[in-house]
Amino acid sequence: MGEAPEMTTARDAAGFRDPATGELRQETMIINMGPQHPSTHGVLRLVLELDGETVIHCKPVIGYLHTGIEKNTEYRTWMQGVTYVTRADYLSPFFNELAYCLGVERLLGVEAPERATLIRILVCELNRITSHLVWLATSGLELGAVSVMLYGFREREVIMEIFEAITGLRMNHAYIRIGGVVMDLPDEGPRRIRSLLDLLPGRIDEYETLLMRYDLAEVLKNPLRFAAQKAKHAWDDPRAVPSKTIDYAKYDLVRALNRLVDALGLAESAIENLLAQALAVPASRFLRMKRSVDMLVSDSKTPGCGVVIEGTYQAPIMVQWRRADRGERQVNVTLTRFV
Amino acid sequence: MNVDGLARKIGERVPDVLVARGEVTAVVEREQLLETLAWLRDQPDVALDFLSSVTATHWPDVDPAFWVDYELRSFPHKHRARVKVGLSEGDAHLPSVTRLFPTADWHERETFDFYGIVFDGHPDLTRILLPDDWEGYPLRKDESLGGVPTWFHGTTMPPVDERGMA
Repeated sequence: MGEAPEMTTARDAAGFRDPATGELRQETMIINMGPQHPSTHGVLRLVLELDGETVIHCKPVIGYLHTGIEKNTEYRTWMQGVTYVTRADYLSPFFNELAYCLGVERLLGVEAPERATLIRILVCELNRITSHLVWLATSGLELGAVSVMLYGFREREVIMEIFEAITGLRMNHAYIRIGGVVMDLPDEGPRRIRSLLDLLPGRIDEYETLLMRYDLAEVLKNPLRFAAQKAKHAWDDPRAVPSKTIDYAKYDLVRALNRLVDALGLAESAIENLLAQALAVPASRFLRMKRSVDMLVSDSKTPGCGVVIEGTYQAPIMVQWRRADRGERQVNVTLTRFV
Repeated sequence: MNVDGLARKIGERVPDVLVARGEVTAVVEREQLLETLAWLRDQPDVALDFLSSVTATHWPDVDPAFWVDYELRSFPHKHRARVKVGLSEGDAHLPSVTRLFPTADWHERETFDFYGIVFDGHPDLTRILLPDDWEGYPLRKDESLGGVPTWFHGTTMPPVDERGMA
């Protein structure tokens, strides 16, 4: 076959031919993603231009959350404005109040008293922590690290209770007012904040452990490959304990159980029952492990059930035991950091 | 550089510089806007290299009726300044600064959306926060709050200042 003659067609003129390479482009498809799509949280719409499965152009449409606060405040007094701006961002209400009040104070040429300024800084810094916790928690969730979401919101709740003690409300505080703050700190305020500061550093270590359990960034580079590697490992030997877990665990109860049951050749035995009862009581009385194991083990007679999931948590106290179905051994243990 | 020093420095280039409440504001004509912003960005000891906001204000009964504000921030020197352009009611258009500051894209769309100010040369000057078929420019002072027909059941909601206190 000879070379096709150069021809310019209507399709070329319409931009179907790539001007750089001269290759004929396939038709693209415009897909509307959101605002109802769950991952867009109901407020973002993405108009996507797809070439096959490749997004070649994306136009974000953001106008689903504007509430006209500027226009509303035109009809309100300056003092009432705080009530609006605190709702502008429910994750960092104090910062919005502060920015608004500082602006009005600058227009008036007044300054808040020192104590009020310090209280403002205090609540804003606490607010920064809650706001960042939501960021961390939801980012974890969106990457598939669901636990981080639960832990992040747990600590946020502690700080929200402090906000409630200080301002009377969990959000929409309208606490910072023009010229100061609406009321002084409650008597219990400093004590609660101090206990929060004792609590937080350890919790932040926890998040780090949860997120660094595997090198998440490395996993996300190629999640399928990661899953395939893990699955291969599991299928080769359903009772295998991943090497990382061995490194971390001082001794490995699940592996010991498997060895014992294997040696005795019993799939469902009195030993299993005994261990089940032992594991059902609080972990701290029986198991002193610095790191944790989370496993699901079943034997190869029941294909489809056998996988090994492992982890190296430092956090929660939870030991679960489920009685195995017939012909299957299953252990699901999660141990905690015992300091 | 402190506020007065910055004002003096900008004053070498822009004749009309105000210092009010610790903020530096340079007032320029529409024709000088682009070159002034480019100068402020590229001058090493001014280096206002970040456009943090574009917005406008509306003053219905005076001329100029619109003031378009460019809030600038310098990352190297950590100071701020503002550039203002006045526009009259029937002639509310000025050149887009998206070539100088790509971040101006959405800011200018928002200013267009709410004030109806047209930015010539903008790559995609469409409504950004309001629905595409919205009529009017709600942050102009002569637009009332509420009083627009709702999209549901043919009902209307009276303006907020005309609603009864039940």
